Amino acid sequence: MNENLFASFITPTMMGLPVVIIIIMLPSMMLTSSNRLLSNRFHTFQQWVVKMITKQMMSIHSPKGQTWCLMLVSLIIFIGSTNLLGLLPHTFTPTTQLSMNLGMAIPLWAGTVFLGFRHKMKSTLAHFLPQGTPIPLIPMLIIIETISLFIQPMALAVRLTANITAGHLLMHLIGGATLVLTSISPPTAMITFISILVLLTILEFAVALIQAYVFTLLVSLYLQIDNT
Amino acid sequence: MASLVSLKGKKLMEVKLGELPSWILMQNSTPRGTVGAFQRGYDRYYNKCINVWKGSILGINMVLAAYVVFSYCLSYQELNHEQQGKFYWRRVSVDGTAHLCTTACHTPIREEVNRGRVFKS
Repeated sequence: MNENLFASFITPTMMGLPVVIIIIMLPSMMLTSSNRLLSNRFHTFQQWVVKMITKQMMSIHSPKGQTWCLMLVSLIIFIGSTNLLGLLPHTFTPTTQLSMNLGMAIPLWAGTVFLGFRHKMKSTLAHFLPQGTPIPLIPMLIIIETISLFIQPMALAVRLTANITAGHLLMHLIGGATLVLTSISPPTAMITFISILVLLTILEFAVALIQAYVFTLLVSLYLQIDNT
Repeated sequence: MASLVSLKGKKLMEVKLGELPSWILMQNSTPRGTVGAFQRGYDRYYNKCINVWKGSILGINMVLAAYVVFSYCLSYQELNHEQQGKFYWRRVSVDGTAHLCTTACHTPIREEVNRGRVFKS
């Protein structure tokens, strides 16, 4: 039971070929494009979602920051759709892999930092020292701020990985417990199923979307901090 | 011979199950041909089930169901072993660096260890 708990997080291969590539590309294959003003329901819904995300995420940015619109909206749609697809039974969720999340977090964070240093060097360096700091504390605070800067991509990646992995593990555990309880005491199993498993599944749907939003929001905040 | 000639012109749905391997081999196996085949299949499904007036969620749900079945097929072996209560050793390389090995407290595995055939990392 203990080893099999983590079996769903193993990268899937088929006869030695990495099927994970197709699984990562699947959300993009499901999204449609159309050059018509009025299109089918699926595309209309997709347009509505993209419009809502764009308004929500990009309204806080300056025109220069809004050049990142395509990147950020693609990011949130990718993470959100990948997380939601991972909630289907037996499927593999790429965002449970730390390697993938680090691969997303580090380049995006580094891009915001390098842009900040390139265009607004003084302003970016000034962020290492908050206003009104007592003079004796300055050296220590600069060290702390530098460490917190380098922790940012790690935190981004680990937050997403841990949240999604923990949710999936909880569902596995409670689902397994409910199944065992069915033969021991069906009323208890029913209570467990309705009160815990169903609510947990609803929570996981919310967490899937929230984590995508949090990831993208933090990247856009790093961009705003370094570029305004 | 006549059946082979006529097989090439057939569409996928018209090909019988026994003729399927020879039909696949007859198709254009260049990268462009393969991509074209998948593109045609995607366009056909999209225009039939999704790009319709007042389409329902059934169009996308069929894709999701196929994805679930595909994922189940990928994880079938693990599920089978779990159901049978089996624990198994993964292959271990000669120099002792092991791939992921699952532990087992069953007697047959212990015998294998005692005989020195399996190395545990």
